[in-house]
Amino acid sequence: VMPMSDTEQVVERFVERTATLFREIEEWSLRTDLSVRRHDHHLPVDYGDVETGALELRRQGVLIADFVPASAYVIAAQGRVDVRGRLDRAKLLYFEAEPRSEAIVTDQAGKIVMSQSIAVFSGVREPGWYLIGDSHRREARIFDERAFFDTLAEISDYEPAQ
Amino acid sequence: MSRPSEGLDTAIEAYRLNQDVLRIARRVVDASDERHLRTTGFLGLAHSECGAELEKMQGRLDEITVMVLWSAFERWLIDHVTRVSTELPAVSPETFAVRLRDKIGAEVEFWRFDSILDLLKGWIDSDDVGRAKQIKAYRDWIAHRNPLKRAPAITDPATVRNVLGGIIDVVGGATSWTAEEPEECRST
Repeated sequence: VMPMSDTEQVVERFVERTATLFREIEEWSLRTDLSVRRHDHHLPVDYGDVETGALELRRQGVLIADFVPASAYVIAAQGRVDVRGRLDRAKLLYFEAEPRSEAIVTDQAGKIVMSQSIAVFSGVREPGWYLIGDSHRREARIFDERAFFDTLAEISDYEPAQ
Repeated sequence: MSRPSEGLDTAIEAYRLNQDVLRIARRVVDASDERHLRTTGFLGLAHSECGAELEKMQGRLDEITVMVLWSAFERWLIDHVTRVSTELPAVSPETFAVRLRDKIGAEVEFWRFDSILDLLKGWIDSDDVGRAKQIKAYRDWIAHRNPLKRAPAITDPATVRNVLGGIIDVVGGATSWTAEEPEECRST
C-alpha cells in the first residue's frame, strides 16, 4: 500500500467527517416528515477530485436544506460544509481543537507592547462540526440535534410536525 | 497652481488607498494569517474562494471609481454650461436674454449628456469627446448591467481620470495643462 501524502490524509479525514455528519443528520431526520436523499457531489482537490456526496432534505418535495461539502482546506478550520435552504444559507466548520491565534499590539517603533492568545472562534470545546453565524460574530455552536433544527428553522422556516 | 480638474483627484486618491488595502488583504489571505483575519468573513473560506472575493472587490472598486469620476465630470460640465450661459453676449431685448438664460439653467440638467459633449467638438479633440462617450457608455453599463448587452471596452480609473480631467482643464481654461501632465504630477 502506497503511503498517503499529507494532502490525501487531510482530504480523507474530511470525507470521513462529512460521512459522519451525514449519518447524524439522517438519524435526526428519522423522526420527522423530512425525506433525506444523498446525491453525487465531487470536490475538486489538488490531485483531481473526490466523491463526497451531498445530502438533500425535502418535505413534500420542497427543498428544506442541501448540505454540500465545500472544501477540505479552509482558513482557521479543518473543512467546511455549506448548507443551502429555501431562504438563506448557513455554514458548518470542522474544528479539531479550539482555534486560537495571537493578538498583538505594537508601539510606533514596532515593539510588542501587548500580546495575548485569543480564540478565533469561541465555544469550541471538543472536535466536531460547528455552526458559524454572521461573519463578524465569533461564536461557534456545536452542530447537535438542536442546532440542526434551529438551522432548518432559520434557513427554510421549517419546524418538524408535532 | 490649481487645475480645474483637481476635484477628480480625490476619487483617484481614494482608489489608490483602497487598492493598497486590497493588496494588504491579499498578503494576509495568502499567508492564511488567522491573527489578522479574526472576525472577518474570510475565516472558513478556501484560498481560492478568498482570491475570488478579492478579485470581485477589485472589479467593483474599479467600477465604483469610474462612476464617481463620471458623476464629478458630469456635474462640473453642467455647472459650467449654466455658468457660461450667464455670460453670453448681450441679446436684446433683455427680457428675452433673461428668459433664455433661465431656460438653459432650468433645463440643462435634462439635456442628453451626449449632446452637451457634442458642443465641445472642434474645440476639444474629437477623439477625446469620443472617449468621454465611451466612458459614459461604460458607466451606464455598470449602473444598469443589462446582461443582454455586451460590456463596453473596459476603461480603467486612471485612464478615465486623464480623459475627463483633460477635457475639464481645456474647457475650464487651463489649456496648456494636458501636454505637461506628467511633469506637474511629479512636482505636486
